Amino acid sequence: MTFTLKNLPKSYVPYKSLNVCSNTLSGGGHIASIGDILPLIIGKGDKPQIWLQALTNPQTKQFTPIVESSVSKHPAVVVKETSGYVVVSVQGTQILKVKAKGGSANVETLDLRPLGLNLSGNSTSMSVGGNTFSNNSMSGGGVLIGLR
Amino acid sequence: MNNVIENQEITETIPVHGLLTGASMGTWQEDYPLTALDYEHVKNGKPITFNWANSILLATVGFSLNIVGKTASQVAGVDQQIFIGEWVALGAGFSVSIILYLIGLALPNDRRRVMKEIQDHFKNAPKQRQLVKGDE
Repeated sequence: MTFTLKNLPKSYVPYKSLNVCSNTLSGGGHIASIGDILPLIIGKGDKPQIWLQALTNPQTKQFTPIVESSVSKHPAVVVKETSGYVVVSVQGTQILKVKAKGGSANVETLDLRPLGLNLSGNSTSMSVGGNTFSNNSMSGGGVLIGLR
Repeated sequence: MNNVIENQEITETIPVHGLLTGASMGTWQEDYPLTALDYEHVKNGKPITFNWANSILLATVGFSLNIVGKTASQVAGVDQQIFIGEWVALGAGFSVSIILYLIGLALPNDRRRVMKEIQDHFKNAPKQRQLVKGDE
């Protein structure tokens, strides 16, 4: 099952505020979408709940879930929880590092290039395709960047 | 194209091009090293007696339809005799094709051997899912 804007995971609860590589999404926004598909969903829980989907077919833009509720669904993907961080690695490369504090979460490392998306960032900025995003804010839900 | 977007209050989704890198996830399994000889075996490796058995069996089935027709006529009350020789020919046809088939089973069958090797290979070779880098 592919998760989309209309088909969110049942256990997904949005953070009031989600900081992604210095950009703030408040009111339950998402970082990126390809059409309707959300490659990365971060929700609230005991630890940050992460859903990750990797591209299986660039032509038809098909995705397959590789992490669901912060549980790896794929042998090449490792999800670890260390000192308040949830860290996701693919074949030894760290692709996501999230820290939660209260009603908000902070994405400090993001690199979805191994999953087929030109989306990467650190705690100061996020680069997408040829664009760099830093210290922006978006409120009221919605998706920050989209590929139509 | 290198835009810097900072300190903005964003209200609508920003469309971005070049988001897909072309990398994707696939399942990988070792190929079967099919040689030209293997190919020839697959193509022509069946014992020739199977072909003979097939031909004779088909001819016998055709002949048996003839007898079916005669039997139908008898049932319908038409004076139509089935001679003993016709039954003998029918029996002989089936017997010969069965014997040829059994001989074929006993002969070395290269096609079956290669097919079994290919099947075993794909059953036993480990499968791996991995991320494949696209053209960048």
